[in-house]
Amino acid sequence: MNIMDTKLAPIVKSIEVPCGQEQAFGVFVNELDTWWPLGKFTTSAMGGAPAKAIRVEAKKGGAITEIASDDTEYPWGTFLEYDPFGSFAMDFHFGPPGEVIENRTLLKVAFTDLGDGRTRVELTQTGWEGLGEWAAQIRDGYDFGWGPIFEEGYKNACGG
Amino acid sequence: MAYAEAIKALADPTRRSIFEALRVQPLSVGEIAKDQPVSRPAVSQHLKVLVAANLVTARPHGNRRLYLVKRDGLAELREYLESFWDEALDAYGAEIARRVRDNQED
Repeated sequence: MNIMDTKLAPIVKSIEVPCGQEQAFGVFVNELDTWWPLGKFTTSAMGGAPAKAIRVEAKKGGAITEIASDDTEYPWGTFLEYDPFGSFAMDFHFGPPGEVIENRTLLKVAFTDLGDGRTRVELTQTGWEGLGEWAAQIRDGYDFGWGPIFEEGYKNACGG
Repeated sequence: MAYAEAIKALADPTRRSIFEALRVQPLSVGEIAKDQPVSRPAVSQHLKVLVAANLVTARPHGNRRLYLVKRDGLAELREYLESFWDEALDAYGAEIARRVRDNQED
């Protein structure tokens, strides 16, 4: 199986929040680092220390930048579309300290007013192929087709 | 954090290439070095990093030592990628809930 031929399924996640569309959008975009797990999902965290902050330039072409524990700045991506309070799209990826990022995934987030002071936030991440073979394969589900390759390969290498 | 070690280990193109080769079948250091543009000692160094990251393990086979992919390390990595948005969105939902609650108390 040539894994580069495999088109990878997007990640789709959805959450309903008990506030209006404008606030839902505002907290997500403009106040990202009040809720983002700075101690887990940041470049800095992968190096062992929580990030200090995430700077968001909320406009089309604007950058999202992590401020690491040692004040190093790591770019996460830029807004490709910025349509308050309905949606935004950005290229998105960060890795461990030292990784040179050549390609990013495409992240879209849509905010739908459900009335009654509720908003649905739906997130779609595509473009995993850009991250390279191994990330793409892990995303796609490592179990598929992997077992036989491993079992067979190992058996053969061990002389059957 | 194990997944961070794994991501870091695989961020290097040579190590990724070695890892990909081991995915197909277990190999000895010499066999790996034949197909890589780096020396045997360099391959050994890369293997050391992959082993420390829990991605690769070594097994004796006759008088040879074979390196093979370890599934546990991959499972951790995959779990990290899978849980990423669930956890981030949970945190976002909790922050919104906190704000709404605080507003109602004012």
